[in-house]
Amino acid sequence: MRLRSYALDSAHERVVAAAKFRVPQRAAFDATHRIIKALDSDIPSLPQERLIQQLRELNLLVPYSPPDLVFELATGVGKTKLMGALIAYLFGGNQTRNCLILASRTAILDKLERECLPGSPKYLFIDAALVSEPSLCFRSNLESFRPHPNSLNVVLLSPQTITGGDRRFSRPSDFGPSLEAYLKSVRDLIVFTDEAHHLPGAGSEEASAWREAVRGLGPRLHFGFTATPVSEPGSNIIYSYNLAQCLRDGLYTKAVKMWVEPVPESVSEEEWDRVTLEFGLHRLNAKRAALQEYCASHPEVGFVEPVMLINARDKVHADEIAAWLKERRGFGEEEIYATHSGKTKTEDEIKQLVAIDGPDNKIRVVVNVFQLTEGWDVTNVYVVVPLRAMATFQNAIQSMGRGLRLPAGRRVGDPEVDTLDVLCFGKETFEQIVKDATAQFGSGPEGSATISIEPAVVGEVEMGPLRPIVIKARVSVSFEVPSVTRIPPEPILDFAIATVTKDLHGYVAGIDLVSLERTGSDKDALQHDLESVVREATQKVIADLKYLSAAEHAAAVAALVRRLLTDLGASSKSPIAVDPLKVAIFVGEEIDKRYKQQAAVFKVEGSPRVVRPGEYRWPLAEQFKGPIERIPVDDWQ
Amino acid sequence: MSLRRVPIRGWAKCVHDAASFEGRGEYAAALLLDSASAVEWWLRNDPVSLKLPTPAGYFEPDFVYRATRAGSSSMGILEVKGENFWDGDGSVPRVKAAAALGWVRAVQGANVKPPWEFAVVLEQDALKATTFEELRGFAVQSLP
Repeated sequence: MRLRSYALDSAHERVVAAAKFRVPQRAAFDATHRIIKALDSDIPSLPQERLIQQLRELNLLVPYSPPDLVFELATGVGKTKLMGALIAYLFGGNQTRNCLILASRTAILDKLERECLPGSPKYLFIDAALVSEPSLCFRSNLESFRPHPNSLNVVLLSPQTITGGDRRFSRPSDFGPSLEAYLKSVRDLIVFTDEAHHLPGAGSEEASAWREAVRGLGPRLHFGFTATPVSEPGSNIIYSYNLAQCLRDGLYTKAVKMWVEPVPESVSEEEWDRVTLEFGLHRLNAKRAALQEYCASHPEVGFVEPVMLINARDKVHADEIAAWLKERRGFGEEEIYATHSGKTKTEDEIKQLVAIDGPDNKIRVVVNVFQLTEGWDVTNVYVVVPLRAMATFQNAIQSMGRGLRLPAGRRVGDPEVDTLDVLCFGKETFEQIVKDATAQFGSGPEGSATISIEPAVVGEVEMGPLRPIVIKARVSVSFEVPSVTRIPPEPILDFAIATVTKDLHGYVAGIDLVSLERTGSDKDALQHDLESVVREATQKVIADLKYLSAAEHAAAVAALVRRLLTDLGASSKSPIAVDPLKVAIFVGEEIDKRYKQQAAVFKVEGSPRVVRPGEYRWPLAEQFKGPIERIPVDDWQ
Repeated sequence: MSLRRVPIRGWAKCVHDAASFEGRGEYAAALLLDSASAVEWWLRNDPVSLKLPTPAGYFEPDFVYRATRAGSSSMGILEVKGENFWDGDGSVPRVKAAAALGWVRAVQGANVKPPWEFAVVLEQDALKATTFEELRGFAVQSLP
């Protein structure tokens, strides 16, 4: 027993050391470790009835076999990494040598197959030192796959394959029994389902067929990973870090700003589409400018074209939108991707769309007629525009999942670059939407920290249909714009941080300022000594704020963090349950706020740029034949 | 009917045949620029020809112009702000304007020829002023 405990602790430690977990991943990982450690034998030698009995004693619901353990992690937090880490842990801790991963979308299977290969920059099993040479069974080698008795066997398939969609699964291969027979024969099969909510329970024949097929293999455990759990009897959500909490913490996804403008009664759907798109384009341009500027001052970050995602009603509507953007707003053919309806093409479309956040991407607008679902996890969607009947608060919330991922994996401190804009130009009023948001995300600072809601102020529909005209230069002039570089100021790091800690309560949700303990799930609270919090928080602050360097600023930042914690009552004598990441984000914001308030310093250097304004194309409302004559200023409206 | 973003022609000193405006204050400023004896030409900076980097994104002024006063030429930047948008310290328009001011100050310090001048005026002042020089006198932020 002691040896078992040691082996599991050791596997846990090795994975933790290699994985660089985010806090929610770590908490989910630790929760699993606690469950596995509580069993009295290793899974391969534990009869299934005893396994179920012991899990029930841990207050888990197990109405049937296999026991179902579900992790709810918001989009962008890192479900896949958690899955890979759990496999590495269960293998390293002698709990399994046979894992079946199910993913219901081709794009996800493709991605997982790439990441399973040793040498992949995002190696699924964390580190080759943990899982050196897994025996891998993909769709492509299903019949020639030969499981290895001593290494980790990983089978990666879609649920359709195991429910009879692929005869190769149950057909004996050239080398021996069928894959199905092999999986049924092992005593340590553990099944992992990515995006488990694609497989809802009650009422769905497809899903029950899948569940039956999984049960038929006789796995010992089933782990599900989802962003939106479906409540099912027998599903145990053993760790949850949902979207509201994720947005409130503001660490792993873009912030969300919802722009609201109710449709006026007298306006046609077509006219309102244009007003909505116009505002969306305006936001897209703002994102583009902010990204360009950010990339110019951070050469290590490559510029990737930001994308606006439009949800249209049907194919005809999508085509109308695409045509309008091309004809009236000058978009090129290669800048717009209009998805073509029909479920059979969905997977192909997703494959093409997956490449959209590459540096060569030219697509600026994606018009789609279905909710693009999981598998499209690109990082450069910055504006989401649901049109017509889809422009409701609930739809806007659902469609924003595709735009939450951060290009750099973290926020960079530029509000425009860090924020996803979601338009909600529908029938709901601003007040209704605020009410809905409050109901969903909570009120007060907690709620407003999740999403911000603003009236869009597009004014009345005043432009009407537009057509481009050419405005010519009347005279030929040129002027030189001096080449001027902005010199970053030296950050201020010696301010009195204790005076601002009253704000910490609203910001660092979950930390009791008196006890410095995390409120919420105490079991998940990690205990640290003061110096390790100072060290971790300092490292994160320096990593997050590009103008700080470890060599120059570490000591001053550490002093600032230490002062904050000791002012709050922490001491080096006892461990504290404060989250270093949250401390870091708070301290980082305080530093950044002061940094941005410092006067900008410019230096003239290099050759000037010559500007020669020439003719340009301008969108003119169709009711005008051309430019109008000058009028008295009082007549301008 | 709104004339927002509808091109207007008939200018004496505008670089282009026509220029469009977002609000009456901008239009009033264009009329003053066009009738100012010191102004050689003015450019409505939309589409954008000149933008300056700031900590809050680019500053894209409403107008760029060239003026000659007492035989000396200068380049000028004019920005018209609605009172509603000219918020308190730390607001985006203020951060941008402050940075643009820093840009012009650096250019002036480097003795670039012709020198650059800069002014942010409020919409209500653009409507009140009767000459361009008077408008510049009303500036809430400027460098002569």
